[in-house]
Amino acid sequence: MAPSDKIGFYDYAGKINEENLNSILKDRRKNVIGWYRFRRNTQQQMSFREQIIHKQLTQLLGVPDLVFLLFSFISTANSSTHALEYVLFRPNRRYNQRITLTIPNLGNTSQQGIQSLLSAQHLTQLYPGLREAQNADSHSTPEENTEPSEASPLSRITFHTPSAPERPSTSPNPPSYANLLSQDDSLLSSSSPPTSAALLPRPQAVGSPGHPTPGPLGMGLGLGLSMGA
Amino acid sequence: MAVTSVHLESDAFLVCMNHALSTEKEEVMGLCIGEVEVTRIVHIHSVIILRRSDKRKDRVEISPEQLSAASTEAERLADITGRPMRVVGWYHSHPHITVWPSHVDVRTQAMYQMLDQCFVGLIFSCFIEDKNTKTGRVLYTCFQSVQAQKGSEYERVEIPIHVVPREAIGKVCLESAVELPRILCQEEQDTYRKIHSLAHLDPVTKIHNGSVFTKNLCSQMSAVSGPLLQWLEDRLEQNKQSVVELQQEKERLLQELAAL
Repeated sequence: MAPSDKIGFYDYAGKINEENLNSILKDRRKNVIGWYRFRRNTQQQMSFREQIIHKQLTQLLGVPDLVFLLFSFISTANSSTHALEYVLFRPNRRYNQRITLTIPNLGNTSQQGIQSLLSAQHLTQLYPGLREAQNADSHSTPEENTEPSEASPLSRITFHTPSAPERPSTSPNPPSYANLLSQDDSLLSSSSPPTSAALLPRPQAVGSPGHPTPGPLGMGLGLGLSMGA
Repeated sequence: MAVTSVHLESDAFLVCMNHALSTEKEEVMGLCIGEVEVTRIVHIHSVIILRRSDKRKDRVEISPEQLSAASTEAERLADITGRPMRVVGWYHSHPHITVWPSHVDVRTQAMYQMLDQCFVGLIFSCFIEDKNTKTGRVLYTCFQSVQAQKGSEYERVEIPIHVVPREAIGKVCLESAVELPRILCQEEQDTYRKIHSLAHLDPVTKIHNGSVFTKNLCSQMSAVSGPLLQWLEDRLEQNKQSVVELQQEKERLLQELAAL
């Protein structure tokens, strides 16, 4: 963002002063994707002057799909409540000129998949096959990004690959850490003796003489399952 | 009416907005520091970002410990700025929800007003979108609570609020702004440590937990720390540019003066 309040790059007639524009942009010229305007108490539409400025900018900067971000500000009569509204336009297109503007934040940059911290009880609750695996002498290296058709129970734990974050979508409610902790207490009393590192066999390479045949597993496993609620 | 209006310094406003826009998944909150003038105008000079221990929906409450810590902070600010500062209000966000305070909010505000008649409440409503016009909206309002008659329900009273422009971001507000990534990181570390203090974790669980921790920290960096840093660097660049231009103007004027 480069505010141009000190030197304007256009005049009252809407004619762009290229020299001023260049002095504002300098070497950032190639990174320009659009321009913005802030007005108070006005309609959410491009004014005529803005339209002609937009046409000139499109040509001068050589950006065919230049965008225009319009901010408008309105208040209640007693000034107790104020609203800042924003619309993103693509004026060079014939249809669908308005686009949704998404603000990336903590709530929507969380990628799919691994979400919750677990403790051992939960792990065995989630993956009953783990119990069998602990009892049998099995291979315990988790495989990444694959859902192997024939593999030992533990290696069925898959890590979902995060999708490219082009349009961040709101991920489903990840359980909060606190819930898991309280669940811990309730599970401690009801579940079987806790898993300890000693019970889990040491990892063995696939193909080694100790490698077992895969046991039956009821459900598809994925760490993306949300716990609890 | 206890308070006539609220004047919110624009750099404090900036911190609130940044905080409110940091997440759409939960409500955030903080305290406002400033002074109340004889004309009953509340002047907010800075804000303190708070951590929410109870993250249930619409349970925005400030613990006595947080209030006490905020008072200490206010005293520190009073020393720095040389003006009498104290906690004068609270703010919280309403992501995807209307800007008006809920019944719980009005009651909470009423409770604070019992301690301080001039205590004000601010609400920031964000991540609102009008699907028809593709218009996004961020709203903010200021209110107090009043009880029509003894024993009746508390009601909202609208208080005019004005944002006071400032040439630059004050040092205090700058510190508050960068407090957010610090708080987020701290929360994440606390949760991770708590889980890992449980004795009987198997290796797979440890790997899983470590991955969650890393992922969450990265998420914070991409959503909060990264953009904040970028914005501050851009602003610094602009300020440096301003300085150069002003110096050039000064040179020109001096030359003009010398020519006279």
